Amino acid sequence: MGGLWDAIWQGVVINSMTNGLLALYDLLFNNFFLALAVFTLITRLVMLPLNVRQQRSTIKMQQMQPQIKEIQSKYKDNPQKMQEEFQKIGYSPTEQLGGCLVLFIQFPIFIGLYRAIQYVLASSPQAMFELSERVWLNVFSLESVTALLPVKNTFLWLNLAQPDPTYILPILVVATMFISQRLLTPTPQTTKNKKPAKDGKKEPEDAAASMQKQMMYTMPLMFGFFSLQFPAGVSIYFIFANLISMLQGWLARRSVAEERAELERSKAAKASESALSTAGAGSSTSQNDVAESRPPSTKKAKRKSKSKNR
Amino acid sequence: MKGHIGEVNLYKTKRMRFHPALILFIVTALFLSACGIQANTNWPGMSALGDQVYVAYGPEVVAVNIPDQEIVWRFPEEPSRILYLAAPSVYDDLVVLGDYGEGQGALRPGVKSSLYYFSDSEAAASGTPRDVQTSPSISEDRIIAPVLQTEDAIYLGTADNKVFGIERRPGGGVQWTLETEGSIWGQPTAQDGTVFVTSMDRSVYALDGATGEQKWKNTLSGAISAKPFVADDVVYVASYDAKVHAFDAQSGDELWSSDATNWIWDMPAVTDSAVFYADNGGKVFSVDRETGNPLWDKDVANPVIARPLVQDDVVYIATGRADRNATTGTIFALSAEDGSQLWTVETSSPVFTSPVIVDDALVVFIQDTENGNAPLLNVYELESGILRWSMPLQNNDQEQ
Repeated sequence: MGGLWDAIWQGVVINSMTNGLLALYDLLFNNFFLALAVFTLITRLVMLPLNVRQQRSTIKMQQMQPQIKEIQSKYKDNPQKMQEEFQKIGYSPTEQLGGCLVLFIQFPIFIGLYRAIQYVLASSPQAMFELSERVWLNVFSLESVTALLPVKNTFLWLNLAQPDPTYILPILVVATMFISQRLLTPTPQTTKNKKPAKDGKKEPEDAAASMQKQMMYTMPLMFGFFSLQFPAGVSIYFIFANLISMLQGWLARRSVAEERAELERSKAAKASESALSTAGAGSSTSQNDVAESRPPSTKKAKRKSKSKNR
Repeated sequence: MKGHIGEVNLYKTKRMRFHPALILFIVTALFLSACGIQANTNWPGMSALGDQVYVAYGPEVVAVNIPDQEIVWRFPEEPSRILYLAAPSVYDDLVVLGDYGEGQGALRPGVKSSLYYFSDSEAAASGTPRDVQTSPSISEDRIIAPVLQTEDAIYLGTADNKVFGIERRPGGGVQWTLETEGSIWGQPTAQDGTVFVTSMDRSVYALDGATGEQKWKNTLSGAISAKPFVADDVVYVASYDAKVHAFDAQSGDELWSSDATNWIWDMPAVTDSAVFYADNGGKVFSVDRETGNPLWDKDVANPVIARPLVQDDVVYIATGRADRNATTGTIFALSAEDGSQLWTVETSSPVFTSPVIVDDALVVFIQDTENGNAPLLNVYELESGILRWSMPLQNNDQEQ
């Protein structure tokens, strides 16, 4: 079983990535920086459906927190009713597990990428020999591999096979990861004036929010620390991946906000229709009066939607 | 009530508190265990002088007297985190070796490598070098190529693309530096005041040994990790372009080139009449020394990384592995005349470190895979290939 797993891991994951990276290096004018950028983009595109789904789910969950909390406190003694209410607002606790799944899928890909980058940069004879064992000679000819290797490992001031001695890349890793984490982890809509629980303990949601906040700071620092030890090529991968995550996060936020605004608009339209029909049935009221007679909640929802769109 | 308990559990799952530090610990542990530093390591190096062989196998460098079957000295005296993988250079009692780079601390990126100098005889007297001089942090990257010593200079090529000419004395000053466009993985060679250096930038450089001034440079179509071999004003260079090239040592003009089927990792062996080389495709070749015309070739099945050796009309070839799962290597003794097989012996792991010949013995460094990659020195009879003796190199302190 171990042998099979090793064959899949080494043969399918790492070798595919190593050869893919090498092919891009070949196509992109033997520029490893460009190859790395396009490679990150491709892997992120492959993961895009899963990532967007996870990001949208995270943002939606965060935005639903006030309603979830309300339902939880209202029906804390009636789990069945609680579940029904959750279903009504479109909340599913199992959906949160999907986020973990995405992480679990991403992690081996990330490690595979890290190894592929190290193999392609081949900074010692042994590493070069291992690379030669991994190159698919039915895809590349021996002549083309000979022409490609060793990969030119210098870019600007960097030796891509060594950590960046100027600290610029580690700082960029921390900054981009922090921003991307911030975009992916919207500020929870917890009430500022909320009193602490009687026993002094934090509410579970507060604990989760606090954990997310801690992660928002510790993850970038941890990856920044990794960047001090790892080849600059890996740091560049981190930076590209973070930039793409930032873009994804921004798109996911915008799409959730639009969806929400759409929902609010349709709710408002429905409410207005029902108000019209009620007024039509009772007396001959003017159009302006109908507008004035809209329930306050609808107006509030509109304002909320507008502010979100902004 | 259907699904009731499960539903409650689900909500409880959501309420579970994961301490961020725990998550970070798990992520870090997974990351580091999965990534490791394996991709950055290298094979051990071995050199020989007289009756002694010097093996840099990672945690330490060991000098072994082959006829006496005993370890003469070990370096360093105390275990450290620094690795030594480039074969030591020993000349006129001075041992010079470079390390494989030392991390500069958790918050300081990069590695720096140093040179170490000590007396061979003094080290032998006390079992470990006592008076070790250093040229600290001479390189901003690893030292992969063994150092070359001549009567009055030390030449060093580093993985950060530099060649140094250094005054030959312990802690000697750098006289000149030349930057190439690729890492230096092969030991330089010197003849009549000229130093020949090969680089992974695909070029062979001929430099003035005193000033570092470039006399000529010849660029090939493949990278070069092999040490150049110089004899009778001809420089023989093996390359990843699947060829051995012969250059005029004075002008750099190519005299001839001869084909292989795959990359050639290390330098050829040269006799009065022939040049012998082996490639990554598992083939051994013999060509005419004057013309490069093929004489014979022989299939040894597995890739050959170690340089061929030739003595008394016998060519010795040690093979690496055929694939990542292979756990054995093979040593072949071939007739220099026609390539016919004289004897063959299987080793307990693939051979990547070039063997050396001491008197009538073939000394082979093995990382014994059957015993968890324990470093082992195997000594074979040159005549028959019979294993004469075997010696584990690992220090008990290192083992712990």
